[in-house]
Amino acid sequence: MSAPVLRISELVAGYGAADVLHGIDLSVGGGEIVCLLGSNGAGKTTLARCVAGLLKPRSGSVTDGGTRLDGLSPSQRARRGIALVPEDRGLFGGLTVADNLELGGFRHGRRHALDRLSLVVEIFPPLASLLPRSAGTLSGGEQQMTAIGRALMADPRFLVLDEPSLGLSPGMTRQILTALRALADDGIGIVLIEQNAALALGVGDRAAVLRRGRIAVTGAASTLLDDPMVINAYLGGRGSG
Amino acid sequence: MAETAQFLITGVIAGAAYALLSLTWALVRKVSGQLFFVSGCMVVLGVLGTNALTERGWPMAPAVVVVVASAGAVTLAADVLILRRVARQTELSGTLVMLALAFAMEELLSLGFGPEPRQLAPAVAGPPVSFLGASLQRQQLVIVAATAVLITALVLAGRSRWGKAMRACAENPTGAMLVGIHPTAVRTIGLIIAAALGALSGVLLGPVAAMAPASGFLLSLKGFIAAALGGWGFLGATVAGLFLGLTESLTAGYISSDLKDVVSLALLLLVLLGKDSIRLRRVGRVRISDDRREAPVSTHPATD
Amino acid sequence: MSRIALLAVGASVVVGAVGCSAGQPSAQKDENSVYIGAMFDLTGPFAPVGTAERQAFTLAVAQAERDTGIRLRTRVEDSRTSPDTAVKITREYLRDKVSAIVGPTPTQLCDPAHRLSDAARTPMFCITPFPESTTPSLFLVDAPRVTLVGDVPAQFMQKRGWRRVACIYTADAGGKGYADAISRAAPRYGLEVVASESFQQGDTDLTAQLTKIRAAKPDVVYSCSSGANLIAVLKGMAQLRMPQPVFAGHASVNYDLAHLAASNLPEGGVYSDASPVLIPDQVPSGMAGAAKAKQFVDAYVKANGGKRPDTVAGYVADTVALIAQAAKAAGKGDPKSLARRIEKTCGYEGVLGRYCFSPDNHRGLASESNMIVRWTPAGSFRLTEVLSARQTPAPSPSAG
Repeated sequence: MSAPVLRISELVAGYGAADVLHGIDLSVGGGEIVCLLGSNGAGKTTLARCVAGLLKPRSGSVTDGGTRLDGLSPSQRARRGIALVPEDRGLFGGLTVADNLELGGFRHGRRHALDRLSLVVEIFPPLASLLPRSAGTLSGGEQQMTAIGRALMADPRFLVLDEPSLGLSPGMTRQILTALRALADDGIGIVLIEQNAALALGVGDRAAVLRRGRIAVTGAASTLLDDPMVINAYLGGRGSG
Repeated sequence: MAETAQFLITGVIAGAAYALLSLTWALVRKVSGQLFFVSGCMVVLGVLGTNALTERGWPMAPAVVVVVASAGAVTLAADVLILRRVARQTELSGTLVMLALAFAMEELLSLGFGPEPRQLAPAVAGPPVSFLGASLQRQQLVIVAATAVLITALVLAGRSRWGKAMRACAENPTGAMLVGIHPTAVRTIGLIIAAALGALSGVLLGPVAAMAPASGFLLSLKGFIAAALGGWGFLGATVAGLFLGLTESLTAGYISSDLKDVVSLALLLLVLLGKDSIRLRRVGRVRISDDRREAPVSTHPATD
Repeated sequence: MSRIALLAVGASVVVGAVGCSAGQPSAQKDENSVYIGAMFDLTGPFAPVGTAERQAFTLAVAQAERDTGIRLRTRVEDSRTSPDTAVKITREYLRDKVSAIVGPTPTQLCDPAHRLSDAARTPMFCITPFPESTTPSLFLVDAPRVTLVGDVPAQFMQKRGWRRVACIYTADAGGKGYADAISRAAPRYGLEVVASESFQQGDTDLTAQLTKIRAAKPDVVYSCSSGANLIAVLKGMAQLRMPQPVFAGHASVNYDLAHLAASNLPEGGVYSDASPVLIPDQVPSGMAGAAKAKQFVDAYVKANGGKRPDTVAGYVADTVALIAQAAKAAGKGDPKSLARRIEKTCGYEGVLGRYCFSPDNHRGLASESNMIVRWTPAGSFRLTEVLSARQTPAPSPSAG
């Protein structure tokens, strides 16, 4: 049996004249969390944008279970079950949390949305009381829960999260990472982009360290977590937190 | 007393027309963030197109359908060829392009239908009716009723999944794409609905007002004032439209007809000075419910 | 941004091109030929008038070339009902050394434009009755405004026994001109202006103004406006059940409006003054202009697919003919000789009547009588009254 795999092959991408990614190979299967680590400017967000279809790669490919996604727009990829929670969370600030979540399940009809909503609230219990609030008025952690919840509404097979811990308290970050672990255990494939390596590696299965647009190190999360040299060399010594 | 009633009713009827126009602005603003300067042209197209067809012997209903559909088609073409390409640009360039389109469309209407004013036969014929000592044309009742229906429909539609999807696209196109909404398609649909609504307003207003290609700009301007005054929401625009109509009518009636347009232009000035955020809530304690549009979406929230 | 700028510019170029396609710079350049620069409002609220003027201009140029044997160079520009544009076009024509300028039409365009042509001593023929006084270079192929929009309606109202006059006027130079003229003429004919309300060009709902007018209980409503504004007046009166007769201002008298007004006529009827061009078949025999008007109307109808010309078209036709005649008589087309020659033109019969200019009189139309028509439910005009223009105003008569 082969679980569906989201595979990135020899991906080259950039903005304007400059290449940011120089031939990336990475894959994530259903049920696993792959951590993508690296310092600011290493190309993590660029990779996420390529996967979601927001940025067209110069060469290389992204395949979903063997199907190339090249020509698909972000909305088409979303409908295939590839969800991105962008760094800025991409919420609809003027709409309520409930509306944001409802739109997350936009393609699936009302009944499906209600089922998913109860599931999302189960994963992030604080959302229950936030439903009527305008998304623009939420705190960072609440917004992150809403954003991930919105991505989950579509019942995705793959979830790419860009810096979910950004601006969150350690407690809130832990809460969210725990939820991600549970989602992976339910079969979703997750790419977790993080600067905070120690936290990410704590829940991840595998990890890759991105450095100046290239995969510098790759391996099991536990190995990388236990390797102080890797942490010091590639993660700016931030691993001890 | 009868005079007061007449001024009030005149104001409500003019207000209903302004409200219809302002809805097209509010809708376009919601889906694309752009200013719908061609709104008045669509109204004029509604009058001139329907007139041209009915004069050729078409029955009213198919003529209206064809004209409303062609307003949509024109907008689709304008969107695909021009508007879509500037949607992501600065507000100024979008505004300039819309203005240029409005002028171009006025010329085209003039070339196609001639520069002369035209009118339509009323949907309900008959002498004027009396109401509280004021008298009004039957068609004006039709306008008020149709406006009420259209506004209710729009407000309800705005709360449906599709309505929310439209707002989502205006608020955060990237976010919308990521949840599987196609922002360009939604934008285009919104623009087409706005254009069709404009043409339909023309069919409603055509029997009470003769219109020429050159009439469009003033109509657009009134719609803009009402929409901006109402904070760009459907309900807000409606209330502001009525407010504008009443203000104009009462000013003309009790102060001086010379000042009527001064008042509406002063309101416009206030709106422009206060950007788009002069909320009727502040002016008249009218709740605008969830139709308001907050200033730029706060996607960069404070930390926990 | 540059792409956007390009798009915006591109769009405006399209608009400009459409607008400028009206310009017809003629190919031939000849020192002795007569060069007429014309400007009409082909876009904007006066577009219906401007378009008719251009059609009349084209016809009149061809006719004048046949009549005089002179070759006329012409150029037509769109003044867009904008004083700035009119000034710009005038400047361009003067630089281009035109022999004479025909237009503009609205008073607010003529005022600034003719100051330029005055300075350059180039004759300008505004198609408006309003300027209070003429200048050495300003000619008006029209009766003075007091006669046309003041005395003529006042005389007619007096004759009908309508004493209380209400005036509803557009808040622009043209509308105010009407309102002033009737206010000044009223006392001389024993009339009283009981209400005077203004509105903006293009306003479609005038019920607030008309409610106030109704309260003043007038015998007649004078619609001092142009074009479709008259329809707004008539619709408002119908809504308010006002039965009073309406006297329609000079500038809204044409067949298009008669057609629109047909379903909105008040009980008291709509009246207006009329020229031979408007009703060539009803002109009383012996009145100047009848024969030429008929000829002009036939040619116009033939050239424009059945569309009938209005009085303004007649002004343009006569202006062109007068310029051509004067140029022929002068033997050259320079502005100064042309202006001097026109001042000597007396007795010429055009489509609107007989013309007699002098150095002191730059308003040539010497109408002996004025026709008043009633608008018909069929969208046409019926002659109801012929007023003698020479009649001295009666001192305020008592009732009767």
